Amino acid sequence: MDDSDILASLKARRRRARIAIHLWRAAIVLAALVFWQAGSGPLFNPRWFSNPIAVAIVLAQDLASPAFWAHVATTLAEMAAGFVVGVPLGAIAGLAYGCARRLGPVAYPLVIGIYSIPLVALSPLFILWFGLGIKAKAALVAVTVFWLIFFNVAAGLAQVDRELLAAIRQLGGGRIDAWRLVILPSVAEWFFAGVKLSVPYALVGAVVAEMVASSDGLGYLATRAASFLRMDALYAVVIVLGVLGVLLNGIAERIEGHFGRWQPNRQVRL
Amino acid sequence: MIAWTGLSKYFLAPDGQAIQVVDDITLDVQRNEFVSLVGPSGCGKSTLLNLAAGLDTPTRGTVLFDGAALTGLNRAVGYMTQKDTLLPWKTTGENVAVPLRMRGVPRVDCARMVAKYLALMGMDGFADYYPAQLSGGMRKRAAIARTLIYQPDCLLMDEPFGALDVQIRLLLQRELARILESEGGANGKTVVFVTHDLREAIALSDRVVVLSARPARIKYDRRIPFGRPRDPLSVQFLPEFDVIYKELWDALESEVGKGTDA
Amino acid sequence: MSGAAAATPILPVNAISPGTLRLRLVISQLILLIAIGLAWEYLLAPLIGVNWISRPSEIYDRLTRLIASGDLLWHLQATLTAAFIGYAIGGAAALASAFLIGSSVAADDVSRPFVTAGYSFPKEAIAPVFIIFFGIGLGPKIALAALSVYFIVYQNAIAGVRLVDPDLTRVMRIMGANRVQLFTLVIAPASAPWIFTGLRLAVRYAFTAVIFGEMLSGNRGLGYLVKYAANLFDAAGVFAALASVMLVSVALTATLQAVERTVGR
Repeated sequence: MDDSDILASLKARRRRARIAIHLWRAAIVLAALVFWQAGSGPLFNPRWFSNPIAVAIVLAQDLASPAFWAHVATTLAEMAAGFVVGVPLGAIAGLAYGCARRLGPVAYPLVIGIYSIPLVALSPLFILWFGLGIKAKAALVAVTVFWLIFFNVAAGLAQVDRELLAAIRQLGGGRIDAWRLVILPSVAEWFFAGVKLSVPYALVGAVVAEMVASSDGLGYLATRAASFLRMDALYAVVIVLGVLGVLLNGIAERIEGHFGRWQPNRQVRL
Repeated sequence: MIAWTGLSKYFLAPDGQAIQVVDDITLDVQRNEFVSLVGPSGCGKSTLLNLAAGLDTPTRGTVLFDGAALTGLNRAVGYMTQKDTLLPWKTTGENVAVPLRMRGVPRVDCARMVAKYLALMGMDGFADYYPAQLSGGMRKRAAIARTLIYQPDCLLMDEPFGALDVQIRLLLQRELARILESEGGANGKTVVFVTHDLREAIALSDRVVVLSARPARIKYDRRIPFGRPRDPLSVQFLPEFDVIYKELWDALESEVGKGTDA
Repeated sequence: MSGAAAATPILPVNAISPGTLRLRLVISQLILLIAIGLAWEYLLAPLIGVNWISRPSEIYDRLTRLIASGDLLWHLQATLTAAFIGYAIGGAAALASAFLIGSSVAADDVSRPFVTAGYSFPKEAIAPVFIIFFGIGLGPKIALAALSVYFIVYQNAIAGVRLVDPDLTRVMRIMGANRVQLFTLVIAPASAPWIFTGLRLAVRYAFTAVIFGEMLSGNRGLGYLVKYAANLFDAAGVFAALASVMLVSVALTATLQAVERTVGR
């Protein structure tokens, strides 16, 4: 055996391992689907569990129906509106909190107290204030996003490297230089991490608010399907939400990769 | 005792390139021999050790241990790394007892042997201390005790003293030499010792093998004329020591620049 | 999203000092709270309208009535029971599967996308399914809590298992450890800090999940209380319920911290 043979055999072995993993994953998904389909009737009550084929049919119908997409658009619009409000407010609040060094500890118990209220609990309050429309859901998303950005920015400020600041001062820089060269860039990392983190939470926030009370959006579709015991329609919505979650996560990762300077995990992707 | 024959080892990097770490090495280590492997960083010396320990398999060639090919993990050796792999959540005494407990030795006998080996390493009274409470040198001693306690005939040591400061290192070298002598028994202990430190290698070994930069080839294989048992510290003041050192350093120096850190 | 990076507040507490500085801090905190309370009562409430934001005096009154009548306790019981049971189930399942899957590199690799999908998928969407399966009692809340807890604990536990020092496992194996010994002597203790982090985060997840479930269906629980008041356009009731939620949440966190300190890891 010479060197190229060895390289070939090593590569072949790795390729086989990768294929094996993908096969296993496919097999698991397939087995689950088959089990679901076959079991619906003999094993599971079909009215409760439906079956993959029925769900697929409803899913196809939904994806073809403009009314469905209108609901999707509503949910996404709520998310977007919430982001537009929550992100800047969170950033400003975070900067203010970090800068007003005296105020920080004084406000601490208040902040922690309010933060300890689970966000879902606020949705009836927002519905009380804004009614059943987009505003209430956007408000919940805004609060969700606000907290994440706030904490990330505040943490970023707290963790600015003091030695770097001292170095800038030594070199003759003033406050503006310190901000421009050191503080803002370091905080930016944290900020974008916060933005990335808040995307899936924003989706959850919008859907949750819709499920509590709404007349449109994906969350509303879910509760409506459930109230009519249309399990197939319900599962279809669940799938769409799942896919949407994964997609948004992927987008968020791209954003972070583009702006943030985190070291990516050096995992060998299989 | 250990025979690497025609040994080559390749690794597949994530980008698809094959990295050759060891190139056709044939090396024999006899019973009771203390052999040091010296070479630049990342040259593959640890790989040779791992192959002898059964932690990895050769791409080409064979590794024989005590005349037989290895099938899986080699439990008949003692294996020490640079990090002291003591369990932080167990006391020193419990740590030293681990290999015995895993072999089913009853507690009473364990306690006796732990006491004996701790005393051997000059650590009486430290059995109830946690590793975090011990200094680096003490932890290393405990690790040695743990490795010796199940009495393997062969020790594979991968830069065991690398993380210690110079003074402690010198003292531990002396300890190691002393222990090998007292623990040797009928067959003596075979040691394969990987190190960066040429002085350490010469001071401790019967033979020093200088390896090239990656992929590792045997550059130089030199018998060390000082007999054993010897005091590794005082041996360094002998004039022959410097001669040998210069010889080996010349062989090593040209390789040091070439190596890429793994 | 890595479980360990979920939104844990890391606030800069600059004033760490003894004696009088501490006293001054507490006093200024109290002053701030009182000032806000007064502003709310006498400024904001008349300005914005009591129907929207209520006022502290009314909220306090409502709260005391809830407590006195035993209603609050009744609702609180429902919430905490569901949260506790869900936590126990989800946590146990997560630890078991993390250790099982973590013990095999192959299983870990194969399962990764499924876990990521499960983690990033909004579990709240499943709530109506649970309600249909388990009815309108504690069942769906427990199920929802268990699901939420499962993913966060699993994520942390498997991260801990993955991060066990490979040198440690190598040395142990050469010294003769079999699978069980490797697990009990090395993997479990080494991953313990991660597991505890996950378990700590999961408390909040369980609590939130139950509250959400209560808003969707049923007639008991703190979440139900909030929704019920909102349905009646009862601002004072909403705020009173929210205040109770806040107090319970803070109490839970404080208990957790106390537990952690005693266990002393």
